[in-house]
Amino acid sequence: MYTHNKQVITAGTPAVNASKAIILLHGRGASAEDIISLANHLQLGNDTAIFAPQANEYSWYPFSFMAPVAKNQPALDSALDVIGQLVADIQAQGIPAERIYFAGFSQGACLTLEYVTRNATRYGGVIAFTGGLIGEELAIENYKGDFGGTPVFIGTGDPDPHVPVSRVNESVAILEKMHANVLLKVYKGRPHTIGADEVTQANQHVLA
Amino acid sequence: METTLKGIHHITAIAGDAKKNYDFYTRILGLRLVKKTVNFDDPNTYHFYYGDENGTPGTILTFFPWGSGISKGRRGTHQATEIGYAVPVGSLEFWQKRFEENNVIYNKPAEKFGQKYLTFLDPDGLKLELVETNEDKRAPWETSEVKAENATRGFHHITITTEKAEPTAYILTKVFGYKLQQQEVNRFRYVTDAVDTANIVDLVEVPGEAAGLTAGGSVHHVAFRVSDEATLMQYREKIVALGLHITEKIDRNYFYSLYFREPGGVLFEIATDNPGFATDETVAELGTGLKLPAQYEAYRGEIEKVLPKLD
Repeated sequence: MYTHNKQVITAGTPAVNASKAIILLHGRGASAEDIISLANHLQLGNDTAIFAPQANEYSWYPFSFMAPVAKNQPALDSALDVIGQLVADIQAQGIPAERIYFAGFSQGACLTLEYVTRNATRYGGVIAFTGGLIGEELAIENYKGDFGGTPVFIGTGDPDPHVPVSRVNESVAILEKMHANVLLKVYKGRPHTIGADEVTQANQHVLA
Repeated sequence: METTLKGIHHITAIAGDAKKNYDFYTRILGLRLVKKTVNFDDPNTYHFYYGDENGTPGTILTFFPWGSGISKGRRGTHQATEIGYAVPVGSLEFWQKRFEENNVIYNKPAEKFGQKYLTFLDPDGLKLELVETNEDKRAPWETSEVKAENATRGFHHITITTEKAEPTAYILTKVFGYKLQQQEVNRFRYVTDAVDTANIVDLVEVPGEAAGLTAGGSVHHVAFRVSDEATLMQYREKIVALGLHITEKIDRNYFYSLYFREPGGVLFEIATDNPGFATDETVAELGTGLKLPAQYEAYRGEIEKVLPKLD
């Protein structure tokens, strides 16, 4: 079993000079470089610091996000901890939570949702390209805070080979209850990828 | 050059089944389909525009019908939650009977700000209202079943539900030129006198209410109207000066747009009157053909195959 070192690739404007930041979380088998290329498609403006942490083993946790959480430990807790440290670093450089954005694909989307829901506050916004909250069953006792209207976009395929729509709906219900402003879009028959429309929805709903 | 913002341009909402949406708005509500195109970012989904004969700004309701399998939205804060249409005084009886006959969910008429209104839901649960007024002189679109004496005139108001009215009110008053006209309990009515119609925004303040879920049957964004692109860009500067993020100018083929999220959480658009809908069809033909943006014309055959049939 493995844990993560904090290895973070940066792009965009250096955080000390930036007015906002985005944390990009890659999917299973991918890399920080891959997900950083997604930033070119997002309307970030030229005042954004971009951070993409790299998972050890190219994977944030070893099993499905719907496996019992214990099977995904210690990798999962370690991954959440890496994001927490990164958020603290960004805040230390003068960018408050309400100007920090998150975006992830697949496993990175699950981890994104899990992190923000465990640490809910008014963030800049959250983009989950195919993902849901993590666990065999959702441990709602872990979810704390208030999103205060944070815009969240979740796009998912139906059916998706990795992420069932039922789990996405369950996750949305929890985020909403914690006052997130969620836009959910389900794409019939779309393969496990990020579609052009999802990028547009993310740009309009979260980054506009 | 006109430099003022002129009320609502269009409202865009999300629907499920395309045919149900088309039937409801064209037949039951009696609107004209003024443009049938596709979502420019997702060409296998329609984009419908319903309005008056010409698709005049202030009458246009647009939909992305995402398909029958989509999740249902829920009204809440950070959302535009009610779309009000103006209808002539005395027509609510006709509409009530029509909704009854067509199994449309509706409430018995009520009154706000001295005007009688009828609330009803579209097939996806989108909340609409017909508001009685004789002040609205816009020419109605008539159908065989909905004649001028009952027909909608275009938008009367849009309602935004919010935890706190003040941040949204700031944009409406300081940037858009609206003024607070009246208040009833937690409903604040803002009106601009730059135009006579489609000029009302109601802010409903409900502290502690959950945020809405934007999916089927909910409003995606509200577009406000300016005359031309020069005015559009003046508004861009005003929004930037407030420290809010706003997109670059986007060509929507029938208008030019900017998008930004107002501080109350609703996606606002500012859209131009030019060039309008009669650019790729004549006024007489509006809504009859499937209009594709140039980049998709080469794929017309494939796109037509996957789009749901409407008749």
